[in-house]
This record gives sequence, C-alpha cells and structure tokens, in this order.
Amino acid sequence: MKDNFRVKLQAIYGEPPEELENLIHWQILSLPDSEGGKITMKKPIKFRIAIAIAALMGIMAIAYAATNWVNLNWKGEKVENAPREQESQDMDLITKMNSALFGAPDEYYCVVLSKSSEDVSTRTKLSRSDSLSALDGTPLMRVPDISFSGTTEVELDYQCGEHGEYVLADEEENNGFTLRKYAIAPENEVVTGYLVQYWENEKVVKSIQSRLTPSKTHMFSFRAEGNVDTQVVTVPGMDEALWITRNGKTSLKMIRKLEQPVTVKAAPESSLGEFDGTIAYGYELITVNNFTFDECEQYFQVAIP
Amino acid sequence: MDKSSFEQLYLQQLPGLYRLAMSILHHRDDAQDAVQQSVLEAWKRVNHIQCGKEKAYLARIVINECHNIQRRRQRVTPVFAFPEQNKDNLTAEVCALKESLNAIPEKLRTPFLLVYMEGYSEKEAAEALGITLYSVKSRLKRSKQKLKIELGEEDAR
Repeated sequence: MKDNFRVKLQAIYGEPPEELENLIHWQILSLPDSEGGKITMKKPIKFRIAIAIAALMGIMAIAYAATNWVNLNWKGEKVENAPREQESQDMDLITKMNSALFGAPDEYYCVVLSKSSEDVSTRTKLSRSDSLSALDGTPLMRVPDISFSGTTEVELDYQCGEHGEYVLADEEENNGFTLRKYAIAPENEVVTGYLVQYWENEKVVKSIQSRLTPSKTHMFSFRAEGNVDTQVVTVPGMDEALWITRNGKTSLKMIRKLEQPVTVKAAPESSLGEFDGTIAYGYELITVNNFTFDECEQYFQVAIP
Repeated sequence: MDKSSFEQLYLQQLPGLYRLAMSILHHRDDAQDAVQQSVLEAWKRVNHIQCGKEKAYLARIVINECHNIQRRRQRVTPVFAFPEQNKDNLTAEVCALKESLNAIPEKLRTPFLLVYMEGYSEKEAAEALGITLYSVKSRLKRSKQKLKIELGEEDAR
C-alpha cells in the first residue's frame, strides 16, 4: 500500500524530461576539474585536519547513538518518557493558544505557535460580529444551522484565507515556544472558509467544512484500495455532489461556482520576501463528514438522481 | 569524487530532485532550472558530502535553489492555482491528492513528500531541510492531519 501511495505521489509531479539528463551530463563535463580533484592536491596539514575532523565526527556520532540508546539527554541525565512530556507541554501550549484564539470576541486574528522560528501550530479565527452579519444573508458560505442530540459541543471556526494581511498584535514566550497573535487588517476581512465540528465525549464525531477555492476541483477523494463506495447525488444549489462511504465512514462532497469570484490579497510568505498579488476564489467546496444519508437528506436535501 | 561518480550520483537522484523542485515551484521550466543550477553548487562543495548523506545533501541544495528562483523571479504560485487542469491525464483520485497537497503549506508539504514520495528516512529529511528530527516528525504529523481534512477522511483539531 505504501508503494502504491508513493507511485501516486510521484505521478503528481512527474518525471524529468529526457533532455534534462543530457543537459546535466554536458554540464558536468564542462565543470572545472579542480573542485573534485582538490582533495588529492591538499597539503599534508589540511589532510591531517580533515582526518581529525572526521574522527571527531565519528566519536560524536557514536556518542549520539549511545545517548539515544540509553535515553540520556546531552547533560547526561536519564530522560524518562521524554516524548510524552514534550507532548504534554505542547498540549498545554495549544490549549493556551486556543484560549487566546477565543478570548477576544471582537477581533479577527490568527494565532501561531512557534518554536525556534518554526511554526508548530496555527489557528485562524474571525469573530467580529459585523463581519459575521455581513456574511449572513449573502450567497457566500451560509453556515448551516444544525444541531444533534448527544453533541456536547459545537465549534465553529472561520478562515480568513491563508494569505490574509496579518499584523503582529501580541507575542509571548513560554518554555522555548513563542505564541504570536496576529490581527488582520479590516480591509482584508474576507471569509474564505469555515469549519463546524461536533464534539461528543471530547471527540469530533461530525463536521462540515467549507472553503473557497480558485479552481473547480474534483475533490471527490476515493481510493482504489480499501472498502470504498461512491454515489453521485444532487444537492440544491450545488453544481456537483458525491456521496462517499469509505471503511465505514461517510462523506458528502459538493461544489458550486460562485456568482462573483472573491478576491483576497495574498500576504508574503517568509521565504519569499515581499509579494503583492491576489488570489481570486471562484468556487465553494463543502465537505460533510460522518453524517448519515438520512441526515444529509434532511439537512442538505441530498437526492439520488 | 571524480566527475563520473558525481554524474552517476546526480542522475540516480535526478527524478526525485526534479519532483522535489516541482513540488516547490509548480513550474516545469523553473524546476529544470533549479535542478541544473544545483549541479554547479553541488560540485563546488562535493568534498563536503559525507558518505551516505548524498541524497539529503543534494536535496538541500535543490531546495535552496528553488527558493533562490522564487526570490529572483518574484513569482508566487498560489497554492490552489494550478492553471493546467489535468493536462497530465491524472486520474481523479490523483488529481484530488494533488489538490490536497497543494493546499497545505510548503513547510509541511516538503518533508511529507521527501518521506512518502521519495523514501527519505525522517533523519535524511531533517538533514535535507536543515531542521531537527523533532521538527520533521511534527511537520509530518501536521501534514497528515491536514491532508486527512482536505481529503475528508477524518476530522482533526
């Protein structure tokens, strides 16, 4: 199954064109000899240093392997259940992050948890009431008003596009982690998605996710392996819909073209520097997870053509 | 390392390096440029390549070249925008997988592809990306969670 998945991934990005192999061949032929040949022309002192460095690295490698085997940290202290302790710390921080996220109802913001300049987790939320009211009453992404008995909690997150113009509003250091809160500029308060999650006994049992997408995507994911069944269905207001049963779990996917595309400004990504561009979203894709077919009939008027 | 061995090494890794560049640049010509430009950089530092770490080393150079190309050309492909819809005659399933992959940030997508597309060990992926093994594990976990949401298999908080 792993090989099958790998083949699918490789199929996405393809194989290099034949001429690239030839180009690289001629490129290597034209490279100066001195780089690869230098090692044979090293002065004795440099060679001895290279050997010393290699020996040191060998010793360090053995020491590293030894510490891992006996579960010591670099101070020589034995570490018990280290991954679980780290996980527990992470959960505390994520809980804190969620509190920060839901703590200020009149702001749009994104909260990012980072460690050593790497993002560990990101959550985005919009909760400003005027924008919610602007959302309501438009054809754009109506959040269905659905409740279930036995559901202990319903969580609704809005997504303000992954590329909104965020401004750093707050920052806090804690145990090597950095929690940053970003506010979004008012002119970029464009909702591009939402996620409704239904919780029972601290577990998500159903969800509805909507997101805008620039192109019409055939996101009817199914796999050849496993127990999969699909059924084309109709849903009023949607262009296409598919009912999927996979390994006992169900999904309803549906997509529609927006009457007017929604354009958002794309913010720069850290590795790319400044960028001024826009993304135009033209479709809404909705995924409904773990609703029964009867529930989909009831709440989404699903029908088999 | 002589040129012949270097060429053999490079051509052996070429398909993986090309796919890695494609996953970052989403553009065939740019991916070819990244791979070609990385040849010279790799040759300059060929004596620094430790035995057994060639794959990760070359991947790192290609990733850096991809980022250089992105900076130089000031061109960003929005993660959702793949202008050529299914010109590669991909099945619907693979198309869906492609869209899902492109919807997750590059920071998560690249380690995922290194491990699951090109068969890198987590340690090799860490070396290729210049990050810690813990970060690779964390990013793999997050990317799998995001992909599951994108593919509608299960919910994740």
